[in-house]
Amino acid sequence: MSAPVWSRVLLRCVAPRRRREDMLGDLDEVHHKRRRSIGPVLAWFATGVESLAIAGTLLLARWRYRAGGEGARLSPGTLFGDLRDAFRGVLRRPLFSAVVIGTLAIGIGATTAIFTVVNGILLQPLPYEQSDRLVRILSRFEPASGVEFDRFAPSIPEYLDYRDQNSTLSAVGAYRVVSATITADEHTPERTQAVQLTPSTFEVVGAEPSRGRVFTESEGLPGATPVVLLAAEYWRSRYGADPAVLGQDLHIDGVPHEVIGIMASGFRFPREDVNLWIPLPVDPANPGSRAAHSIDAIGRLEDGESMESAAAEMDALMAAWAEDLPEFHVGHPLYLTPFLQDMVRELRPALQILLGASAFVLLVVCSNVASIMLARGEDRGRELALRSALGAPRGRIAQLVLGECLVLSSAGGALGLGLAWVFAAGLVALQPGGMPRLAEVQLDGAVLWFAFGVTLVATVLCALVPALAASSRAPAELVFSGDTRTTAGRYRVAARRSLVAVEVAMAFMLVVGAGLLARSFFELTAVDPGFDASGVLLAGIHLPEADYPDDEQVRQFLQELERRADNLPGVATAAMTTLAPMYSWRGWSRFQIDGRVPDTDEAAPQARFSPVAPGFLEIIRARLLEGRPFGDADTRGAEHVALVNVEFVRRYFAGQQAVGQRIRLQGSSTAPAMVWMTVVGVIDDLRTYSLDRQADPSVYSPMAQTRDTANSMERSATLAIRTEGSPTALVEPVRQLLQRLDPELPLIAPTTLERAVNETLARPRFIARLLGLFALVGLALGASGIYGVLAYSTAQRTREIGIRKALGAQAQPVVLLVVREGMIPVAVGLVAGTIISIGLREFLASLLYGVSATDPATLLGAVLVLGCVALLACLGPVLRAVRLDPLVALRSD
Amino acid sequence: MGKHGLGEFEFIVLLAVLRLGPDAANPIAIVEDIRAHSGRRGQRAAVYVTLQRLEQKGLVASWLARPDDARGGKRRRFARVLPAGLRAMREARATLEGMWQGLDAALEAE
Repeated sequence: MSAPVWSRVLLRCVAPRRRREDMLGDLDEVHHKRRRSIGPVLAWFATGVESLAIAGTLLLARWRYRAGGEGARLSPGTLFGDLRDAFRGVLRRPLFSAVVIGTLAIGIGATTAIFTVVNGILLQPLPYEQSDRLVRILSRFEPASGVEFDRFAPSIPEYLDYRDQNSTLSAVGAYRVVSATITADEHTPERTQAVQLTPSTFEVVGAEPSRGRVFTESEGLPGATPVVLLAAEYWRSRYGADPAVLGQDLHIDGVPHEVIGIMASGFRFPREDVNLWIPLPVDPANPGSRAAHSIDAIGRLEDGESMESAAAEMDALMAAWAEDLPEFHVGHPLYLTPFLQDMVRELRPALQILLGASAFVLLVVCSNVASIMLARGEDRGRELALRSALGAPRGRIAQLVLGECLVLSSAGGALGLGLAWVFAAGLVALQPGGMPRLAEVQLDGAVLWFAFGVTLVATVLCALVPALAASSRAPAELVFSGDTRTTAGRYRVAARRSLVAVEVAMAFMLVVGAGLLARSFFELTAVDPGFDASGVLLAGIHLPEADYPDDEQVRQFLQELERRADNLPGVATAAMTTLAPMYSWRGWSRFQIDGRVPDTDEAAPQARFSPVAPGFLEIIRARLLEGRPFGDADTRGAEHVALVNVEFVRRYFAGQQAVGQRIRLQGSSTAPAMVWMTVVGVIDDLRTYSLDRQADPSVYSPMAQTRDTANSMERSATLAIRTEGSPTALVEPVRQLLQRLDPELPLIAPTTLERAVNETLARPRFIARLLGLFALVGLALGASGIYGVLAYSTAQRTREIGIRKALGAQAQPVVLLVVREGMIPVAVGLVAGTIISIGLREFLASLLYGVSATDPATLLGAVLVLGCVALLACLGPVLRAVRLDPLVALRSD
Repeated sequence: MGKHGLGEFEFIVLLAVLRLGPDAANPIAIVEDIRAHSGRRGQRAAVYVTLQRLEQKGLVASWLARPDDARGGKRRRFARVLPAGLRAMREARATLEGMWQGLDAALEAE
C-alpha cells in the first residue's frame, strides 16, 4: 500500500534525485507496516507528519549547506542572532504577532487536544503487565452456520479446548462480568459490577494483590468455598481501607464469600467499573454445553510468538475443529484480536475522524499564517532585498523568515498546549457518553512531544512559501523599484491565492463533515423508537437466589412490589418488566413454530424473549397493530399467550397471519421444550439498544406465565412507572417502598426512560458538536484568508481601478473585477474540497445514520455556506474599490 | 573526536551500519537498530541526512539493491562502512576511552 499521495509528492520534490527512489520506497514500506498496526487513518496521519519531518530536515540540511558553503554549518552566532532579531520583530508588532500566535494556538491546540484523547484512549498501554501481548479470544458465526455475527462470546468447552491445544499463548483465562448485590454488613445494600474469572486470568494479566492472595486452582472448581478479591478503590471507599476486612465474609447475592485479598491500586479488569473478582466455576470434566456462548476469554502471547503466528495456529486449529465437530464448528470459528484494539473498537473510527478533522484545522491555520507572513514579507521586502544585495546567501534570507515563524509558532504552540489542557480537562469533566479509558486522557510526555512536533510542522508549513518567496526575489528589483507590481509580486499573489484555495478546500471538508454528522444526528433524533419516553421512571431490582430460592417467592415479591408501587401517590401505572428500552436488554432464544420442523437445531428461529407484566407495554405506549394486548386475565392458569413484533412477523410469518399461530421456546439437553404460547397480537418494533439499531425479532410473554413458558422466573427485573408529575420525584418514594419490603435489596440505577434514550445519543452529539466547532473555526479562518488576499490585491490595483474610474467605468465592472479576483481561488478550493470529500467518504460512513457520506444536499449546502462566507469576505474590498476616488488613487504613486 | 570530527549521531549511525553489515544496513533497519540498542527514537529523516554527510566525508559508501517487489518495485539503499570510517570510529572510541580513564570513582560518587 502506497503512502498518501501528497506525502509522496512532497518527498519527490525535496529529495535529492540520487536518493529519491529509495526514500520513496522506504516511505511506502513504513506506511504499509503502519497501516497494519494502527489502522489506515492513524497511519495516514503518522506518515504525513513523518514526510513533513523528512522534507523539513532535508531542506534545512540543504539550506545550511548552501548558506555556509564549504563550512556546511551555520555558526551558532548567526542562528542565535537571527532568532534574536526575529524575537524583537515579533515584539515590535504586537497586534500582528497576537493575531498570528492566536491563530496558530487554535490550530495547534485543536490538534493537540484531539491527540491527547487519542493518546489516552487508543495508544496508551492498558494498566496490565506488557498489555500489548494480551489477546482477546472471540468467536464468530459465518453465513455457513446459518446466522451471521462478527463478534460472539466463546463457550466454556471451546475455551477449555483452545487452552489445551494452543502452543502460542503462555496463559489463557476465562471471565464474565456480572452484577452482584452486596448485603449483610453495616453499609447500605449495593449493586455493583463483579467479575467471575478463572484463577489463570490473574496469570494472563499479570496482576498481584497488594494484600492477601489470588485464587488457587481448586477455588476455581464448582463447589469450592466461595472467596472474593476486592479492588483497592472499593476497599477504600466502602470499608475505609480497613485491613480487618481480610478474612471476613462478604455477602454477595446472599452468599457469604471470604475476602482473601485486596488487588493492587489501579487494577481494574476488564473494565473500570469493576469492584470485585470471584472465581468462575469451571469443571473440565463436565464443562456444560458447547453452544452456551456465555464467557469472555483472554490470553497472553508466549515470548517469541506474534499476533500473526498465534492467528495462523488458530486458523489451523479451527480447520481441525470444523472437521471433528461439524455440528458446532462449520462456519463458527474462534479468532484472536489485540485486547486493547477490541476494547476501543467502537471509539476508534470517531477519534480518527476527529484527529483527521483537527489536522484539516491545522492546515487551514497554517495556510492562513503563511498568507499573513507573505503579506508581511512585502513590508520586509526592502530589508530582505538589501540584505540579499549586500551578499546574504539565499539560505540566510530563508532562515530569517524561518526564524520569525519559529518564534511565532513556539508562542502559538505553548498557548495551544494550554488550550489542549483546558480541553482535555473539560472533556474528562463532561464525560461524554460511553467513552472507555477517559481517566487516561491527560497531558503526558507523548502529548508534549506531539505538540512539539506539530509546532515544528506548523513552522515549516507556515514558513515554506514565504521563505521561498523571500529567497527567490531578485535583489535589485526591490531595492531600486520600491514597488511590488513586478513578476515576483505577481508570483506572491499567486502563492497567496493558492493558499486561499487550500484554506477553502479544508474548510469545505470540515463543513461537509460537520453538516453530515449534524444531519445524521437529527435523523437519529427523528427516529420513531416505537415507544414514548416521556414521563417514565425505570429502576432495577435483583432477587438473590440465596434469599429467594423459589420461583414462586420471586413471582410473589415482584407482584407485591408492582402492586404497592402502583398505589404510590403520583404514579399513573407501575409494571414489572425484564426488558426496558436502552436500559435492560435481553439475549437471544431459539423458538419452535407449531407445524414447522427445522432441519437442524441451529436453524430454528431466533428471537429476543422478554417476559413483561401486562401494564408495561401500555406504560411505554407501544403500539398494538393487530390482535389484543395482554390483560389481567393472562395469569398463570390461563391460556399461554405471546405478543410478537413486526420484525418477527416479517422474518418468520411473511405473508401469513401471525395472530393465532403457536410458538414455544426450544428446549435444550438439560431442559425439555416448554409449553406452547398462542400469538394474540402484533406490536410495532421497539428500538431497544440504540436509536440507530433496527429492532430484532422479539417475543413478549406475560410475566405471570413465564414459569411455564420459560420454565423459570427471572431474578432480575425492572420496575417501570408512568408518572403523573416529574419521574425523578418518585425515586425516593420507590426506594423507601423497596426498603420496607426487603431492607437488604438495593434499588439499582434508577433513571428516566428519557435520560436512558438521551445517553445513547451522547456520543454522536459530542462528535457532531466538536466537528461543528472545527468547521466554524475553519470557516472563520478561511473568510479572513480570502479577505486578506482581496484587500491586498485591491490595494495593489488601486491605480488600475483609479484609471478605469477616471475613464468613466461604472461601479459594476469594478465590482466584478474585485469579486472575480476573490472568487477564483474559492472556486478552485471548492472543487478540490468536493473531490477530496468524495475520496474520503468511506472514513465518515461508519459514523453516519440515515444519510450518505456523499449526500448531495449536504455538499450543496456546504458550497452555499462557503460561497456566502467568501462573498461576505469580498464585501469590504469591493466597497473600498467602489468608493475609490480616482484622483486620490492616481495621486497615490 | 578525531580529525574527522564525528558528531554523536554520526557515530551512532556508523555503529548501526557496522552492526547490521552491508547486507542489511538500510535506513529503516538503522532506525530500528538504534532504537533497539540505545532506546532512542532516531528519526529516519536524521538518518538520511547523516548517511549523506558520512558519504560526503568518505566514511561510508551506499548503493541501490535490486528492485524489490514488496516495495512496489522500488530499490532499497544499503550502506557499508569504508576503511576511513572504521579508522574514524577507532579514533573516536580511543578518544572516549582515554577521556574516561580515572573517572570511575568520580562517577560512583553521586
